[in-house]
Amino acid sequence: MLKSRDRAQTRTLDLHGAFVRRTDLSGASLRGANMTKVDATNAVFRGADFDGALLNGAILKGADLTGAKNLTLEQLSHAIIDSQTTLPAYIDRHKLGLLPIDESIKIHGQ
Amino acid sequence: MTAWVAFSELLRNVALTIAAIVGAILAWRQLSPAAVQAKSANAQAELARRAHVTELFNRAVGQLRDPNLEVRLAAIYVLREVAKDFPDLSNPVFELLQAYLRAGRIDYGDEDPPIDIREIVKMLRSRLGESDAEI
Repeated sequence: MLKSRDRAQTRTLDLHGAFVRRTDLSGASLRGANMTKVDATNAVFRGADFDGALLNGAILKGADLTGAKNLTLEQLSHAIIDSQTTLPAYIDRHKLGLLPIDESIKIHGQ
Repeated sequence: MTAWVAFSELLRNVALTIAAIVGAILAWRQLSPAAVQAKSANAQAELARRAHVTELFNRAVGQLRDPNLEVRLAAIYVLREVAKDFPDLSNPVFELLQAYLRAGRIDYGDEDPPIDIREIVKMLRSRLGESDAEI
């Protein structure tokens, strides 16, 4: 029999098309989650695990993905992000056509 | 003479043992219907509890669409307790809350999410488990 923690970890989130702006899913296991076309503008995903998550058309403008685990360029290339999106350190912003966050702040600040 | 005393003691012990066994059987026969009754009463109580929870669940589902925020919030708290007390209903609650968010009728613009949405996301987050990530 599965323990409650194990049961919890086998659950996968399906929020495709949901409107979850400014919500906080920090630290959550989003493994295999369906986040297709979710509007997660300015949402917080600090330390969340995105292993195998579907991000096609997901709006992550201004979202905080600091410390997010298992996030790939492939996943992010299908999502909608902007210069305000905070990405984990291992993701090269240039490869996504984004300026380093300091420079984009300077530009937006002008 | 000694042999006679030993024999009478043996006879007494055998008689006592038989009496004890008969007593135990009679006591068990007395208790058995009571035990069956108690078990049946427990089963009935569990069924009644289950029916009550099902009713709570169904009512909460209806209240999730209520225009009044307090009613929606109360429904969310009821669902949280149902999921906590009845682990077999935990998955239906999880699915229901996701379906509610997916339904597409929620739009609070660029404001902070209303408390009912925050509570739902909090519940989903806790049920999804930790990512074990170090931030």
